[in-house]
Parts: sequence; C-alpha cells; structure tokens
Amino acid sequence: MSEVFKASRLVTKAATDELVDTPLVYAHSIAALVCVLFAILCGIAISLQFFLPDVLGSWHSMAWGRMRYAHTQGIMLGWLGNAFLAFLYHAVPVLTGRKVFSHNLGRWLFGLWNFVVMLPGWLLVLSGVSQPIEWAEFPLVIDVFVIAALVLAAIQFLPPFFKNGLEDLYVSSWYIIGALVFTLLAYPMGNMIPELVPGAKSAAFTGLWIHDAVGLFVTPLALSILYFIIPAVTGRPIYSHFLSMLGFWGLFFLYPLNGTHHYVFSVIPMAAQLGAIAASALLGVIVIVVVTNLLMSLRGSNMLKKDIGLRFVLVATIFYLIVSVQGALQAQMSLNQVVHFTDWVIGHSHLAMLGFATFAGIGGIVHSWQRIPWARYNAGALAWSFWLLVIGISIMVIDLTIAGLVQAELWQNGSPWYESVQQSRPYWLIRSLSSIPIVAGFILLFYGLCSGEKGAGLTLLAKQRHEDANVQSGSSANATEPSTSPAYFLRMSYRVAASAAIGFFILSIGLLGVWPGMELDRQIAAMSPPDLYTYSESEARGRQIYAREGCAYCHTQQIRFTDADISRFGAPTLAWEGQFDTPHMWGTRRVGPDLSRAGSTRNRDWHLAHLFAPRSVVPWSIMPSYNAFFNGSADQPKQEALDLVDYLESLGRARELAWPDGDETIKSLFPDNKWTQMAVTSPLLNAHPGKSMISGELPDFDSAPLSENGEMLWQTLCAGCHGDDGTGNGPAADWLRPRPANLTQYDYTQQRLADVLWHGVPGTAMPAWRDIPLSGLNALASYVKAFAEEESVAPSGQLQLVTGQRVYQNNCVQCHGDAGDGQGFAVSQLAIAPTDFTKQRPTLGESVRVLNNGIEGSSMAPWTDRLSEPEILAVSYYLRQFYEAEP
Amino acid sequence: MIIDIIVLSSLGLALVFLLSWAMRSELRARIEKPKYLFQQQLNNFEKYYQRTDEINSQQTDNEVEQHREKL
Repeated sequence: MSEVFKASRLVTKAATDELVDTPLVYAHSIAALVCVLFAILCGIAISLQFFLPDVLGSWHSMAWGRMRYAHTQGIMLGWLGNAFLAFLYHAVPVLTGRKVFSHNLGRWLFGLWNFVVMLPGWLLVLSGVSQPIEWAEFPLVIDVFVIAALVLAAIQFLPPFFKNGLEDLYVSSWYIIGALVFTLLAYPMGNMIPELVPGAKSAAFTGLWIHDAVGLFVTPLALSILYFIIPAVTGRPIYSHFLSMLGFWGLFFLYPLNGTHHYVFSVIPMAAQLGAIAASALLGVIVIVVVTNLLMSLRGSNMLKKDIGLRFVLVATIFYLIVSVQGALQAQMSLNQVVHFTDWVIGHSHLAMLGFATFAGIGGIVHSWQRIPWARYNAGALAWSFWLLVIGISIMVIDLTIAGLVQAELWQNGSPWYESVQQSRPYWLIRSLSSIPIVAGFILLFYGLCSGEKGAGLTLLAKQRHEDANVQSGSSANATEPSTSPAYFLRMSYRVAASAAIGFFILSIGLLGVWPGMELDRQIAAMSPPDLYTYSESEARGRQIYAREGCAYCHTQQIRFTDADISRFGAPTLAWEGQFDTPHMWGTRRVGPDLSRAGSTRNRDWHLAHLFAPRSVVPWSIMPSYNAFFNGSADQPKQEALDLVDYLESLGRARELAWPDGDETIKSLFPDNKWTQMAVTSPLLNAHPGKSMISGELPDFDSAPLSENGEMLWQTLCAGCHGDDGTGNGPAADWLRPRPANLTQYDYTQQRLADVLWHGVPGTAMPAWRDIPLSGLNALASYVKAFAEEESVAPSGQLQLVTGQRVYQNNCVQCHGDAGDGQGFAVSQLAIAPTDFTKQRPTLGESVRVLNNGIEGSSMAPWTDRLSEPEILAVSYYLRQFYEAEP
Repeated sequence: MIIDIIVLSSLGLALVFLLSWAMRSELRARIEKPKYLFQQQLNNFEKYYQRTDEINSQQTDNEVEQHREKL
C-alpha cells in the first residue's frame, strides 16, 4: 500500500508534466457526477409532480417548469459536458501523442464551465431568469460564457490534432474535431437566433438546434468514446476504418438537416419538413453502418466480462442503434402524426441522452479514471452501477414509450383529455420508480470511483493484460504499415469532405432556417390582417411569466395540420398568428391541452382559480399550483396572476378577430395550396370542447338511468365547483362569480341540461363538455337531475298570483321575457343569459333567496329595495308556472 | 426538390467514397492505416503506465523523477 501511496503522490506532483493531464480528468469526472446527481434530482422532482402535483408545496423556485429547465441543461451541459471534457483530457494525448494545449487553460476552462456556466445557470433558471427554448434554457448571459468555454475547449484540444496532419487521423479524432468545431457554430445559432426572430421562424431555428445539440455535440463525442474504448480494451483495431469514416461524414452531412422534423405538420414550409424527413431516414441508414462496424469490432472479444468501461460502451452502442432507428421512424409523417407530443418522444429523448450518451460518457469516465495511477477504483461497485443503470433506464424508456402509445391512441380517437391523463398515471408512477435504480446506479458509480485502493484501476488493468497476453501481441501483429501511401489523395478527400460537412451545415441553416423564414415572411405578408393588436403591457408581462415558468413545456401553442388536432383544437396555426412571439413558445410536448386558442375559452375567475388551486376546478388536473401569484386566495390575485391571465386571454385573439373574413381571403389567395386550404377550411376556429357557446345544434340526448358512470363523471368533471352533493359548494365555489349553481334547488328539463352540458354557460365558469361521449353526458344529466330536492309548496292564492304577475311584468320581463323563457328585449345587452324558467325551475326558497340577494357576478341585482317581502314571495310563486315539465 | 438535393448529394458522396475504396487497393490500405497507428499509440500509452507503475513500486523518488524526465 505504501508504495501505491508513494506512486500516487509522485504522479500527482508530476501530473501536469505528463502526457495526460490526470488532475483535470479527475476534476471533470467528479464535476460530471455532481451535476448528474443534481440534474436527476430535478428530474425526479418533476416526475413526481405528474401524480403528486403539490408534492413540493408552494416553493416557487422548485416550480415544475423551472426544475425542468435545470434538469435538461444539467444533463446536457453539466453531466455530459463535464464527462466529455474528462474523456478528452485522456483521449486527445493518447490519440495524438501530444499534450493538450495548457494545464492552466484547463483550469480556467474547468472553472468557467462549472462556476460561470453551470452554477449561475441553474441559479438563474430556478429564480426565473431563463429562455423557453428546448435544450437552450439557460439565459442569454450564460450563453455568452458557454461560447467562451467552447472557444477555450477548441484552443485546448484542437492544436494537437492539427500538428499531426489530417491523413492519419483516427476516427475518434475526427469526431472530436467535428464536435468542437460544429458545436461552436451551432450553439449561437440555436441559443440566440430564436430570441431575435419571432413565431414560426423562431421555431425553425429551435428545431435546428434541438437536433444539432444532440447530433453535433453529444453524438460525435459519444461516438469518439465508443471508437476509442473498443480498440483500447480489446487490444484490436476496429473492424473497418473506412466504414467508420463513412459514418462520420454521413453524420456530419445529415444531422444538421434533420432539425425541422421536430415540427412536422406545422406551418413551416412543407418542403423544409420533407427535406428533414428524408435526411432523418438517410441518417437511420448511416447509423446502422456505424453500429454494425462497432459490433463487428467487438466480436469475439472476451474483455466484455472483464472491463466495465467496455460494458458501458457496448450498451451505449445498442442504445444508439435503437434510438437512431426510432428517431428515423418517428420523423416519418405516418408515425409522427400519431406519437408526436406524447411520452413516446420523452422516452426517445431519455434513450438518447440518458441511454446512449450517458452510457458512452460513463464508459469514457471509467476508462480514463482507471488509468489515473493515483485514483481510487472499486470494480465491484462499478459493476453494480452498470446493472442498476441498465435496468433503470430500460424500464424508464420502455414505460414512456408505452405511455406514449396509449396517449396517441386516446388523442387520435378524440377521447376527453382527462382520460389520457388518467390512463398515463400508472406509467408516470413507474417512470418515477425507475429513477430508484438510476439514482442508486449513479451513487454507486460515484462510490466506485471514490473508494477502493489508490491505483487499483491500473493494477486491475495489469492483471487483465497479464491474463490475456495474446491481446497485446495480436494487436502488434495487426499494426501493419501500408506499402504505398496515397496520402495526398486522402488528405484532399478529407478536405473535400470537411468542406462538404461545413457546406451541409450552412445548407441546413439555409434550407431549414433562413429559407423557411423568408417563405414565412411572404406568407405573413399575404395572410396577416392589417392593424393587428400587439400585446398590451400586462399581456407582455404575462408572456414573460408563461415563459419563465415553463408552461410551454406542457402546453403547446401550435395546432398541427392533422385531423386529430383540427377536430380537438380547431383550425391549424398560421404563421402570422405568432408574428409578435419572440421567442416562439410552440412547445414540443402536450401534458395539458394546446393553448393556441385559450382566449375566450374560459372566464377570468376560472383561470384565477385554476392557477391558484388547479384541482379545485379540474379535479383530475396535474397542473402545479401557482399560489405564489396570489395573496392567499384565488380571489386575491397579485399582479403576476392578472398578467398571466391577460396573456392567456390574448391567445388566439388575433385569429378570432379576423375570422371568418380573414380566412376567406386567404382561401382565395392560395387556392392550390393544400395545407393553407386545410388551415382555413376547418369547421371551427376554436374547437376546444370546453368553450362555451350561446346556442347551436344539440345532439340527441336521452334520459338515462342513474349509473356509476354518471357518478364518476360528476366527481371527475363537476364536483370541484358544484361540490360532491351538488349544493354548489365545491372547493372553487367561493372564487367564482357567479357562484356555481346549487343543483339541489332546481328542476331542469332534459333539454336544459343537454344545452348546458353541450354549450356551457357563456359568461360563467361553467364550461361545455363536448368531448364527453353522449352516453356519458346522458348519465351525467341523470345524476344532476337526481340532486333536486322535493319541496312541499303551499298553494298560492289567486291574489298572490296576480300580484306576482304584476311584479314580473313591471320588473322581470325585460330580461326574462313575457313567457319566462329568458328572451326579454334586453338579453343582447347581458353578458350572462337570464334564466329560462320554462326549462329550469328554482324552488320557492331559492327564488326568494335570489330576489333578496341577487346573483353576484351577473346582472341579477337584489330587489329588496324595490320589492316588498310579499311581492318577492308573490313573484317567486308566479314564475314557477312557466316551467314546462317533460313527461 | 430539397429532398432530391439531400438524397442525391448524400448518395453521391457515399458513392464517391465507395468507388474510391473499391477501385484503389492502396487507398483501402491507406484509409485503414489510422486504426493501426492508433493501436500502436494505445500500446505505447499502456506500456508507459506499466513502466511508471513498476518504477513507482521499486525505486526511490529521485529515480522516479529521473525516469519521468527520460520519458
């Protein structure tokens, strides 16, 4: 032991003079593990909120959206960024035989990456300073430092490669060079341009970045690890360097062209979408070539049993194949229109970042760490870590994929939104449970690298080499030099290919960013109505709140050009609708419904109640509570809540104001454009099933017997406002004006119930329920009818009826109409329709109560200052006779 | 149009690669050379650490430093 300690002390002292800068391998590995544990804790916190939405209480910095921002940036920049840097400090000197540029520069880079990018980035997004762009959530000020760090990384790692010349570069070197160069090009494009251009144009650049982040930063560095470790551990060269280079160039040609496949069926020009879809399919082919080459390189090796790093690399290779083929398939329109926005995509992204890239990153760390002479190494813990991570990530990805298919099925068949939420719950629970082996795996990984004897990794390596003596001799035998050397041709071909890769990157920005932007500008100029409202100050502030809280990560703001979207949400989103939205908030996932047409769908009280206590108005909702925007009650909102509601009410306003004349104009301007015609010929601009309507056709409602289905629907849809017992005293009742009806005090005709359930009650918080199947609405209507309490009413005298008639004619007829049918001449001036007494009969007590107290929030005022008690009683008797009871 | 550009240029570049590889045997050998060079590089690196480890366990601090200077 003392010898090992002596060695470690000496090696540490001399480390900076050695080929590999082991202290920086060590530092970045530890930083990576700290970052991944924090990022995963954020991930667990947000996953728990899917079925325990109030689990974090009212701690605003831990709000769902903010944690989500911290999670994704933590995984990509904190975990994978540090893991890759750790590996580069080991790999670049081995690949080139030269030291990296400077140890001191490395210390600056380490400090910059972790203490100027990660730590402040996390603190800022958790305190509400962020940008709502997928994989680019850190604010612009942090982006500047990320770019500075990428420049430092290029200076640190690129010179050793260029000193050696191009023609003898091994494929891992190419991937490292490619990643360092292209990330530096792509990062500013994806993180900054969406802040400068609005709406669909902004989305086009976001699509590019989402894929470039994975394809030009994560994947090349992960593949450099796979190509490095396999020959390093097996002791044999890879199967084919030619195939590896074919994969390398294919990846750099095609990856940037994939971006727009994140917005298939959107308003981004279809040619750009189709280009991205074609590139995605080709990329799938390239990945099969790459993986075949990697697996052929592993064939027959017995090192898988012995080398833990290689085990991680093998699983990373398999994950890479699965995730890439899955990606190529889900970009195709037939599958995309079904699974997009579902948990399938979340499973896909976890498979990419937590499966493929993470396993490659761990492989790189373990491999490099094992070769640090003074580092501790505990092979047993690392072996356990491997299995726990394989199990945890596999369960998570399979679970999310199935959840996505379940959601896709329900969304396609038009089921109510709550059904997809309810049916997703078990999957969300399993997803959270899958984090147990994942966290345990990472803790064991940490433990495995920080326990055991110092230098144990190298000792184990020496032992393995001794046991497998053939490996070294075999590899030496293979290391043959070609007799002839067309180096010039090769060097030129690589230069041509490198130029082509840059060309394809520029092409991707041109074809998928700039050109669609120009097309969209033309569309906007032709289609946009004149004199559009911009956001008011309050709406603009509300938009900032919506952005910082990550609302766009659950609610999309893009109705796609698909039948399912059109029938559920309404007319597809046109480019001009988002021309003031910088950056865009189209979103990439739907946990809650699309909000493109949220304006005028719900009333203000409902929004406030929903923000303060979501389950008070929507018992099945999993939306987090934003009670920090209130002074303790939904009817005491702070300015933030009012701003947010103002913003929500503005969504879809411009299109609604232009409807239908504006769409008719567009229809005539673009008669041959199939997609434009689809956008302007939708039967409804806002098809939200909850949007209340004044009148319209009703489906054939039938009376149904009391049933469990009716009770279930009552509890799911109605009890939040009307209370379990129908008395109108649900949890949200005190915050709604007018209050929810006390259903025990009314008799309703079947037609009235059908009308309310199908059309809602405009001007109140009572929504429509058009997404519920008719059988369910029938059952619900029967359940509501059963609330009516029997009332023994003493017969009225003739004089009393005459008095009641006089009072009614003098005071009530203007609103309620001569026939009591709610069709008085003042009706058009009222925000809430007066009660139609022919279809709805209040009890005598309820009538008297309403006449005495009025209905707060409606035009019905108290009448006690104008009517005497006998008159109130008389008119209460009188209006009962209007009721036309059904047989 | 865009699809044609992407597919044809990708296939074209792949075809150039493949044809060059198939028609010029010396090029095939040359393209494969980096993997052998890398293997040698790996071997050198492993030997370097093995030597360091042996020296660390047998020699004095000064001898280790001298060895490092030699390396």
